[in-house]
Amino acid sequence: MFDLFLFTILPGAVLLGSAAYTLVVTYRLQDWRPVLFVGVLVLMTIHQGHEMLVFAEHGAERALSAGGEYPETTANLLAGAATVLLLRFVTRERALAEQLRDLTGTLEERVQARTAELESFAYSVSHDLRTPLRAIDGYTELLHKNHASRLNDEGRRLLRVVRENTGTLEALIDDLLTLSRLGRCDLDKRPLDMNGLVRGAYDDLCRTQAHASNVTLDLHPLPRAVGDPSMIRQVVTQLLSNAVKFTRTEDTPHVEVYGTEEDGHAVIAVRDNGVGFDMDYADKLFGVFERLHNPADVEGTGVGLAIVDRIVRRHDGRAWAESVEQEGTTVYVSLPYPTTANDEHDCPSYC
Amino acid sequence: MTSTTVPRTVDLLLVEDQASDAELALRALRTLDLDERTHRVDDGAEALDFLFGRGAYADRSPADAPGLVLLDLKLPKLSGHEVLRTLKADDRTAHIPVVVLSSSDEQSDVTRCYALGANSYVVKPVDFDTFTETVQRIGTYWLQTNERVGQCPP
Repeated sequence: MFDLFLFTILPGAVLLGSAAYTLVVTYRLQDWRPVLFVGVLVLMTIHQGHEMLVFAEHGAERALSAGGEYPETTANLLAGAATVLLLRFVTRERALAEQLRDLTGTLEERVQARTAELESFAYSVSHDLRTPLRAIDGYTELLHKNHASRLNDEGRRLLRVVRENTGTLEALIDDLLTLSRLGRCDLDKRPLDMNGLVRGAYDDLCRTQAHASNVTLDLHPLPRAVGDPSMIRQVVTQLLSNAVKFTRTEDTPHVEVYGTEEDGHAVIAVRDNGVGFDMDYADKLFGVFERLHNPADVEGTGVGLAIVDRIVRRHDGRAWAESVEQEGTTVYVSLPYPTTANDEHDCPSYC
Repeated sequence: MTSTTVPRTVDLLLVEDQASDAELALRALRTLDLDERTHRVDDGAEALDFLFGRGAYADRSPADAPGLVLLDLKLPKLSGHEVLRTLKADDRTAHIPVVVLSSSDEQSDVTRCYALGANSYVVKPVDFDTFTETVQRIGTYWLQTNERVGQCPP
């Protein structure tokens, strides 16, 4: 019995490293008198936390296997029964805990699989939507070209509305595809020359959007960042294009791009003096299909900032905005700052 | 099968299951007088029957190769990828230029088609004018500018 005690107390003490728990073991195995046994049960109940249960299991196994050596007393039978009960309880608990661990382990994997499934669904739906859309666009255009003379003004107006909406739907599908693709493609992270990216994106905008060249761009030296060049270029283009779009009605449209370094992240800010938005709706800004302006005033699909948000989050950064109506908006994105020697080393000469 | 009568000389085989896309493409080709020499099939299996002279096209021979196959990817029965693979794996048909005309701008589709031997990959524009212009440009280049492999003497 003493051997058994030693044998049991050691793993118990090692397991928990606690004198209180060791005492429980001592009582449990050394003395089966009802009072002490009740004391053990009380202690077990008090300590019925996760660790205690694991421990009790060890004690129980040992006690059960040595059961034949106990005097056949009622208390011992009760102790045995209680032990079996505890053992069952613990076994179930342990099984559940293992299951939980397994599930937690595979959770990320399963979430990724489901996300990929959803994205591939979005992708295939978007593609399939293009075919009927091409038909609507094509046939209305043919109607317009070949039969417009037989329509009155109202008829021609209706036709124009159909065609305009076809264009909107096409833009929506394109944006949805971009969004679904962002979740699937791999990131090619490199040190970035942020000033070069902003300058390049602005020059491109000037070529594609007439209003862009009216905007004064004030580009400050930006902190270096790490990211996928084509994706971050998309972010920068989107932010500048928004700034251009929302300053269209200003007499002196002005966009300022500046940056700071905060907590290992490079924060890039794009500030405009445009129409701004009501901060009450700021939480909607980065949602898909969320628009804070009337489409009649400002065109757009409501996907642009959702794309920005998704790209930035994939880079372990975040995007947020501040605005005052009729004064302007500042959109911020944070990106990882190059920290390792490797990041520094790979940095191209121009940054 | 969409057209029951096969034109005497087929310059262009249009493999397209969507009637509207096919009609718009044929309209675009009409400007180049190519519509009369175009044959349209609406699934992948029929495309192979046509090219290999099998089934409903038993009177044709692989030697009567069209100057161009305009191939959609999403097709009933056999997909465009499968048509492309079979076509390019057979010596009798490997020389026929295949231009993939698909709604998909997915890189995996583009890469796969080139790996299977596609001669060109064009994304179908949604906008009608761009679509027309694109189809015409394909027709002009592959059927009027590009030199095709001469037919074997009898």
